[in-house]
Amino acid sequence: MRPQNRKQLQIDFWSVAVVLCALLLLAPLIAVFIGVFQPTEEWQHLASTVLPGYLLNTLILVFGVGLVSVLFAVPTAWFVATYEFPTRRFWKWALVMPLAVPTFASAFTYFDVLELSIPLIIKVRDAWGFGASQWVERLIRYGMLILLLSSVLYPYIYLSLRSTFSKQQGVYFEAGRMLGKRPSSIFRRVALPMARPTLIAGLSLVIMEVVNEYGAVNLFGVPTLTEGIFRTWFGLGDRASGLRLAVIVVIIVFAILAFEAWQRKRLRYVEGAQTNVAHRRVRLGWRRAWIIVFFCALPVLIGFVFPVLRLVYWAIAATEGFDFVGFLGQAARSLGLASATALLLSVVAFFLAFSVRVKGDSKVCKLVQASTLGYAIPSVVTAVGVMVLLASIDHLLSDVSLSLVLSGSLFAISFAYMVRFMTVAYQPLNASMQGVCTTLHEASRTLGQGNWQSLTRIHWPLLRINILACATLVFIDIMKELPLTLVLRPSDFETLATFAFGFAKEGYIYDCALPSLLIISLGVWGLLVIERWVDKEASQSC
Amino acid sequence: MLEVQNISKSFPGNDVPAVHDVSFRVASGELLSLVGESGSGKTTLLRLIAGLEIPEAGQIQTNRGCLFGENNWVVPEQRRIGLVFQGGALFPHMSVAQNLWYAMGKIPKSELQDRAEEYLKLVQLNGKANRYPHELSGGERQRVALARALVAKPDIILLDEPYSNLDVALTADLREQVRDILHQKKITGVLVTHDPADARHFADRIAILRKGVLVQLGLVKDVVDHPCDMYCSLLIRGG
Repeated sequence: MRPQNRKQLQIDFWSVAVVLCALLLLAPLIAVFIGVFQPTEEWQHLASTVLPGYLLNTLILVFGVGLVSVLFAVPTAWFVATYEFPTRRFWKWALVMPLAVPTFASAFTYFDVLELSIPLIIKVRDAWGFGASQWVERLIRYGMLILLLSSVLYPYIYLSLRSTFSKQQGVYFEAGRMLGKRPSSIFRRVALPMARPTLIAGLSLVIMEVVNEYGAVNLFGVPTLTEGIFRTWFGLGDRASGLRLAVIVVIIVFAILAFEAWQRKRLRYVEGAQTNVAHRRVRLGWRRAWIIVFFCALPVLIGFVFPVLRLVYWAIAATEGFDFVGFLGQAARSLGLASATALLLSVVAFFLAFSVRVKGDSKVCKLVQASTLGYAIPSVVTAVGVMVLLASIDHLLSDVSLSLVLSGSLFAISFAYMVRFMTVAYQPLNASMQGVCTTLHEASRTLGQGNWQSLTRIHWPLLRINILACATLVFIDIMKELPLTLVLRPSDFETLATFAFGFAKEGYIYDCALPSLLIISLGVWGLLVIERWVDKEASQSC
Repeated sequence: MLEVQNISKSFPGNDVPAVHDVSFRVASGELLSLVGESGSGKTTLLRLIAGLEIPEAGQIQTNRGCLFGENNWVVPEQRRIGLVFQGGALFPHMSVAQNLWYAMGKIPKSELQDRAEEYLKLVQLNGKANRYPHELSGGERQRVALARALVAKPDIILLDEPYSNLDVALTADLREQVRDILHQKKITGVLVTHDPADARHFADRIAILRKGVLVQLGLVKDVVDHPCDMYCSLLIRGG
C-alpha cells in the first residue's frame, strides 16, 4: 500500500499524456490565431473589395443549403419512422447513401448540366438585356450548387431525425393518437418541436460542411470564405491576410456551435422527457404510399443515383487510354495513408476517451473537448494552421541543419488529418465508454487492478469492434477530404480525391470518374459498416 | 478493522453535503449494515471507503494503516477492499472463471484454476466456471460477484445493495449464504441497503444515515427495539 500526497494526485501519467495530446491537437488552431497579428498591407484592400463577396456567397450557400437540406430530410425521416409502406426498408438506408458521394464528385456530374440553361439565358439577354441574363445565369448556377450540396449533405439531418422520430417519441405519438390527433397534426405540434435539438444539431453539421466546402464552389465559380483563403494564401501569397480570413471562418463556425449549444440547453426539457418506447408505424394505402415513395426517391435520385450513373458512364467511356498503372499506384498510396492514419487516430481517440473517463477532471475534459473541435473548423484553416506550426518547427530545426523535415511530408498531412477528424472517432468512442458501465472500471479497480489493466483487459476487448468501426468512418472521411490534402500533400503525392479533382480542373472530366467511383464505393461500404455498428450498439447493454 | 472518522463529502451544485461528519468503527470480522432512504448518502459513504470518491475531510483507517488522511490517499486498487456492486458488474466478455482470474493477479495458471474452483464451490456455483454472465440468473451473477470480490483476498468487503434486483425468496437465501461465508472467512463486511429486512438479518450492528448524517448506530436488537426517533423507527421496522 503506497500512500500518495493528495496535492500531488492531480499530476500523473494519464493527466500529462492527455494534456500533451490535447495541446498537440490544439496547436494548429493556436498557430492560426497567433498568426493573425502579423502585419499586412493587403488586408485593407481585401476587406474593402473581395471580403464582402466572400461573406455574401458563404451566407447565401449556408441559408440555401440549410433550407433545402431541411426540406429533404425532415419529411423523409418522418415518413420512414412513422409510416409502413412498400419498400420502406430500402428507402430507410437508400436515403443515407448520398453521404457516400463527395461534394466535388457530385459537382463534376452536374457541372455540364448548367449548359442546358444557355438557350434560356440567351433569350433573357435578348429580351431584357445583358444585366438580366447575368442575374438569371447566377441564379441557375447558385441554385444548382445549392441543390447538389443539399442532396449530398441532408443525410446529416435525416440520420439523427430518423432515430429521434422512431425511438424517442413512441409514447407521445400514442398519446397524441389517443387524443384524436392525426399523424400530420402530431408531427406539426408534438414530434417536430420535440425534435428541434436534433434538427439543429444536424443542421449545424450541414452548415459547417458548407463553410468547409472547396471543390464544388471552386468548380461552380462561387467564391466563399474558404475559397478566399486559398486565393489569398496561395494566389496572392499573402499569408497574414489568409490567416485573418481563416479567423473569420472560425468565428462563424464557433457562433454556429454556440447557437447549437444554447438551443440544446434551452430545450433540455425535451431530452429529459424522452422515452425509449418505440411506436408502431401507421400502415398506408397504396396512393399515399406512392406519394411518400416519390418524396423519398427525389433526394436519392439527385444526390446518389444521377451522379453515380454519370460517373459509371464516364468511367466506361474513359477506359481507353486511361493510365491504370498510375491510377492503381496512387490509389494504393492513398489507401495506405488513409488506413494507417485512421487506425492510429482511432487508437489515440480511444486513449483520450478512456483517460477522460478515468480522470473525471472537468478541466482535462474541457481541454480534450476543445482539442476535438477540429471537425468544426474548415479543413483549409486546419491545413493553414498545420503549415504555420510545422514551418515554425522546421525553422527552429534549420539552426541544427535539419531544414524542412516536417513541412510537405506525409507526417504533416497525417497530423492534419488527425487534428481534423479526431472528433469523428472520439465522440462515438466516448459514448461507447459510457455504454461500458462506469461500474466495470470501478469493479476492476476494487479488484486490485490499475488503469492500464482496465484499459487493456476490459475496455479494449469490449470496444475493439467500435474502434475498428470508428477507424472505418475516419478512413472514409480521409478518402473524401480535398482542401486539406491539396494544401499539405507532398509534391509527388496524390490521393484519390486530389487525383479526381486534378482531372476535373484540367477538363478531363471522364478521367475523374474512376477515382470518384472508388471513393463512393468505399463510402457505401463504410455506411454499411456503420449500419452494423448501430445495430450492435442497439442490442448491447452492460 | 475499519475506522471512519469525521468523513465529509459534497458534490458541486448540491447545497446539502452528501456525507457530513460521519464516524464509526467496524471491528475485524464484524458485519455492519448501513441503512438509509434514497439520497441519504449511504452509497457515497461506501464509495468513499472504497476510494472511488475522495473525501473532503476526515480519516479512513484499516489494519493496514491510513487510507485517507490529512496528506495521503491510497488508490482503490491498493486498499485491499472488495466491493460487490448492485447488479454484480461482471465483465461481460469474460467467463465466470476469467472474471475470478482477473481478480487474482499474476499467479501460476494451475493455481488460478484451483482457486477459482475453490471460491465457486464456496458460493455453490461449481460447474459454472465456463458460463458467461449473460448465461446466469440474477442470483448466480451476484454470487459470482461475491466470489470475485473474495478471491482477491480483501480485508474488508463492501456490498452495495447486492440483493436489490432479486426476488424475496432468493434474497433471503443469498443473504444467509453471504453472511455465513463472510463469518467463515472472518472478513469485515459493510452492507448498504434500504431494505430493513436485509439490514436486520445480515449484520451484527446497524448504522442509520439521514441526509448524510449518521443518526443512530448500535447492535441490531438495540436499534430495532429502541429507535432514536420516528425516522429510524419507520426505516428499520419497515413502517
